[in-house]
Amino acid sequence: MKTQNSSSKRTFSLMILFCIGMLLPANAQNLSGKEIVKKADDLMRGKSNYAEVEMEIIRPTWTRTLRFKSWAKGDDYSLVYITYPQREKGQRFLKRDREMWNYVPSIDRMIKIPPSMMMQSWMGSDLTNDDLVNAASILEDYDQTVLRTENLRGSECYVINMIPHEEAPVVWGKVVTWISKNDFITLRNEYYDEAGVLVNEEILDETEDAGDRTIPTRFTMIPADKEGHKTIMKFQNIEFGVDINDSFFSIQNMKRMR
Amino acid sequence: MRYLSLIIFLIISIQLKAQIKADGYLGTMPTWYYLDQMDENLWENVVHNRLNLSYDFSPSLIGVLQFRNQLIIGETIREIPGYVALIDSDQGLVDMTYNLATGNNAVLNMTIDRLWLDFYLGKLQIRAGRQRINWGQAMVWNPNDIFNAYSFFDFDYPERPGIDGVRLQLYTGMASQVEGVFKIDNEHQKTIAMRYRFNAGRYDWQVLGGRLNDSDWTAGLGWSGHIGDAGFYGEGTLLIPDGDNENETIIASTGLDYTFKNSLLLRSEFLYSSNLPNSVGGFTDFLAGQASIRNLSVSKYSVFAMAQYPITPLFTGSMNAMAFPGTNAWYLGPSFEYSLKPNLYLTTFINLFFNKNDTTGISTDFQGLLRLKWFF
Repeated sequence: MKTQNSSSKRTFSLMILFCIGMLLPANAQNLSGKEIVKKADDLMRGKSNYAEVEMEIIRPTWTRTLRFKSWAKGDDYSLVYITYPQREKGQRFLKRDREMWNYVPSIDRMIKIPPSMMMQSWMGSDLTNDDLVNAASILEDYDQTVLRTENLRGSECYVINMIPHEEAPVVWGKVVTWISKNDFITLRNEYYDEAGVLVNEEILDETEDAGDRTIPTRFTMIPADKEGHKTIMKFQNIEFGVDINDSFFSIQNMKRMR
Repeated sequence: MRYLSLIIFLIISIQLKAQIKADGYLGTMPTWYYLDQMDENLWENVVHNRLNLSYDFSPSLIGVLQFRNQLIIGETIREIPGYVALIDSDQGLVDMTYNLATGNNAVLNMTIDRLWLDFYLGKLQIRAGRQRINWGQAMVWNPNDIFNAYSFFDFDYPERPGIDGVRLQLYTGMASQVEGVFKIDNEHQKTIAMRYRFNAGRYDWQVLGGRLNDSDWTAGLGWSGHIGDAGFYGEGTLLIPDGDNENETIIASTGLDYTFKNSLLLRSEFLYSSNLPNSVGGFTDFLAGQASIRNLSVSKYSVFAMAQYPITPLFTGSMNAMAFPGTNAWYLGPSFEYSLKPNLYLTTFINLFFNKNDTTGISTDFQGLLRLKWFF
C-alpha cells in the first residue's frame, strides 16, 4: 500500500518529465531505445517552459483539486506558484540546481527544504516536492530496449522496456512505454514493481498545440488494484521556448511574484 | 510639467494595471480549559474571520491591507482579569486594534495587522507600514525572530501580529539579501536592526545585529541546511542590556527533521535561554503567548519532539511533546486535521501540561480545541 503510494508519486516525476520539451527532426529508421526515449523526452521537456496545471485526485468517496503555475528552465531552475486550494494559495517553491526553498507570504517565512522533505507528498497529492520542481532522468536512470512495435489508439508505436539502474532513485522494477513512431509522442506508460507486478497504468491523451510543438496535455494515472482511484493532471496552458531570464529563478522574484 | 506628466503616467499605469485581490478565512473554535492550580473549568468560543486585500497600483507599487475579526464568547471573558483589555491592546505605534463591542461574556474585536505599501526599485524593495518581519529559521523556537517572537501554542494565529516600521531589502544575489528595519512600538521604543542572509555550501546563513527597544544591543546568527538527507537548522541571539545590573542573555535553538518516503515527518528541537529559571512555575504563561524572545519557553532548557503523518491525503495526525530538563514539567499535544470538503478543515488540538514542584505540588493543566475553518 505504502510502496504503491510512493510509486505513484515517482510516476508523476516521469509524467512531468514527459510533458516538458523540443521536437527534433524525426528519423524513424533503426533508432535505439535510448534514441527514441530521448526524442520523446526532448519533446516534452524543452529548454524552457511555462505551464498552468490542474491536478485532480479522484478516490471512491472524494475528489480534490490542486492548481499551480510552473516555470522551468533546463534541469536546474524551476519556480512553482500555487493557485489552489485557497489555504495554500500564494505559496511558492523555488529550485536552483539541487537546492529548494519554500516561501509562505502570509507569515513572511522562507524555508529551505532539506533533501528528505523533497520526497514528501506535496499537499497530500500524488506529487512529491521533488516531482513538483525536478525529475529523475528517464534517459540517465534507465536502460531502454525496443520490445516491439504495435498500434495503439490509431498510432503505430514503439513499445520500449525501461529497466532502472541499480542505484537510480526510482521505485519501479520496470517501466514499459508506448511512443508513437512518426512524432515521438508518449501515449502510454505501464509501471511495474520489483516483482514484475503492474502497479499503475498511465494514459496520455488530449494532444494539443503548445507553442512550437504538439504534445499530450492530459495524463491519467490509474492504480492497477485500487477500484475508483485515479489522478488526472491537465496542462491547461503550456508554452515552450518562452524566454526566461536566469534571474527569474531568484529569491527576489520568488518573494515578489504575484 | 515634469510632475504633471509623472502624475498622468501614474494614473495611466494605475488604470492599466489596477488589480484588487481578496481572500481570507472564517473559522469557529470552541476551546475548553482546565486550570488545575485554580481548579477552574473555563470554556470559550472564538469565531474568527480574516480578510486579506491587496491592490496593484503598478508593477512596482503594491498596497496590502489585512485584518482579523474575532467574536470571543465564554467564561474566559468573565473569569480572567484583564482578558478583555489584553485583546484590545496593540503593540504598534498606531492603535489599530478595536474592541467594537464588549459584554459580560463576549467581546467583538477587530485588528488590522497588515497595512503596508511595497515599492520595488530594481534590486531594492521598500516596505513601509504595519508588517510581519520573520527572521526565524527554526520551526518551534526562533531566537532570531526579534520582531515577532512566536508562541508555539497560539494555534489560531499563524500570521502573527505585525509591527509598525520601515523595511529595506536589497537583493545582492540570486539567494542573498541585505535587510534593514526600523520599528517603533506603542511606547515609542525604537528598534533598528540589520540582517544579511546568504547561501554558502548548500546552507542558508544569516547574521544580524542591532539595537532592540532602546534597551539592548543584539547580535545573532542563524542557519538552515542539512546533514545527510535530514534538515538541520538553528539560531542564536545575544542580548546585551544597557543597565549595569542586568546580565547578558543568550538564547539559542537548534533542530533536526527527517521526512520518510511515506511522508512521516519527525522533528526535534532544543532551546537554551540563559535568562530563564531552572524550574517551571505555571503553564499559563505559555497559553497567554509571548511577545519577546526572552520568553520563548518557560525554563532554561527546553526539548521538543514531534511526529506527523498523513494517514490519508485528507486526514493528518501529529503528536508534539516537550520536556524541560532540570524540572519535572512536560507538555504533550496530539492533534488531528481532516479536510471535510475542499477548503473546509476540521482540526482538534489537545494540550496537556504536567508539572511537579515543591511549592505547588503536582498539577495537570489542559486545553482542548476543536476548530472548523473555511478558506475562501
